Formats: sequence, C-alpha cells, structure tokens
Amino acid sequence: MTRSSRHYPAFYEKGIPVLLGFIVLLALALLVLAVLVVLGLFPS
Amino acid sequence: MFIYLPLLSFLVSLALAFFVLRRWTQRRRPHLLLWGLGALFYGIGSFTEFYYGVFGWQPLVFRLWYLCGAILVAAWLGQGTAYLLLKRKTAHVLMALLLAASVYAAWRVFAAPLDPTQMLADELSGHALPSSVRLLTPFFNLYGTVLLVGGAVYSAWIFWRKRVLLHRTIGNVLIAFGALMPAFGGAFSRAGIPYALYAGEFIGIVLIFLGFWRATHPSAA
Repeated sequence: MTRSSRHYPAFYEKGIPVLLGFIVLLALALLVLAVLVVLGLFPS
Repeated sequence: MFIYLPLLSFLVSLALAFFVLRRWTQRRRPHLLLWGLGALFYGIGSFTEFYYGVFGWQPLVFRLWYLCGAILVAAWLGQGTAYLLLKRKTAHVLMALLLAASVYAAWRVFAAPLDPTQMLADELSGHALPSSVRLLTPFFNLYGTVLLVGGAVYSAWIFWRKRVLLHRTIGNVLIAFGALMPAFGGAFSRAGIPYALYAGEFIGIVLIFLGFWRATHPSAA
C-alpha cells in the first residue's frame, strides 16, 4: 500500500502510530495474563 | 461512592445501545445489531453490579451479571467487528459458534451452585461460582478482545496509512483503548485492588461511546 500525499494534522501524524503501538502492547500483556489465568498461575 | 460507578456505566451503555441500534434500524448492517446487543449486555452487567451494591445478594442478579457482564459482552461486541471486517460467510460461521458457546455458557452459569460467602463486601466477583464455570470466561473475552481491539487497531492503521477519515481513525483508537479497560480493571481487581473492575468498566464504556460517536460524526473532525 502506498502512502497518500495527504497529511493529517501534525499531532495525529505522529501520535496515532504511537498510540496504536501502545494499545498493541497492552493487548499483548492481557493475552499473557489470560494464558496465566487458564494455566492457574493467576487468580481467576 | 464507588458502588454508583456501575450506575453511570449502565447509563452510558444504554445511550450507546440506543445510538447504535438506531443506526442499525436505518442501515440494517449486522455489525451494528451485534454492537447494539453487546452494549445491552454491558448495560445488564453494570446494572446488576449497581443492584448488588445497593440491595445486596440475589442469585438471579448474580447469574445475569456473570453471564452478560463477565462472559458475553466482549465476545458479542467482537462479533460485531467480525461482521464489519471479515467475509460474511466467515462471520456467519463464527456467529454460529458464538451462539452455541453462549447457550452452553448460559446453561453452565444458571445450573451452577452458588456460594455467596466468597463474595467481596459490596462488589460482585466471580468467586461465588465454581472454578470450572469461571474457566469459560477467558475464552470468550479473548475472542471478543482480539476481534474488537484488533479490528479497531487495524481500521485505525488503515485509515492512518491512507491519511483519510481522521474522525474514524480517532474513533477507532478510542474504541480500542476502551475495549481494553474492563479487561485491565478485571486483572487489577483479581490482584486485590478494590473497585478496579468497576472503574475499568466505566472508563471503558465512556471511551467506546466517545469512539463510536467520533467515528460516526465526520463534521466534528
């Protein structure tokens, strides 16, 4: 996919990927937690 | 004071259900119906938390809370995203599986013996149920969270790459954050932090509401 020549306002240009990366990290942490719960290593 | 947080969550989730289902009546898209039902499950879950905080133990209220609030809500919201982003046939297959799993979960929750002495003082917790029933919950929540959060992140990323529809990019970021909040609230609650679940649910539904509102109102961008 090629990038459009259009741009978002500067805050969103840089902020959106950072926020999305942060969300993915949080989701991965939850995934690990869910595995620990299923394995009985964290209180359910 | 914290026992009133679920009442606020209930009101916000009702408002969300109203806006989403009104949109569904106009457009008849299945993802809107699923999101609307998910918001209603959210509302039932939060209302039962409020009921328990004010009026105390009631077996039916507890079972409704666990089924709607702890098991079904994330999965049904996520199923809405499945209809939005996946092929219709794939979404139908997942829907059939989710429906069967939901019926099974309802049977397990309503047939299980309850032990209210395991409950925290004025906060609902799943410990009144046998662990064999509680073990169902992570699977539903994993399914729902992966679809809802993953779908919102994917959509936001696509819009960002194309630099289009900024309002939808922002809306999806808010929805993704909001969808994670109840799960984190639940995790902190399990770790012994009082009312973390209620706080997470409230922040979550507010963010999801704002996200939906933002994504569907381009003029505000």
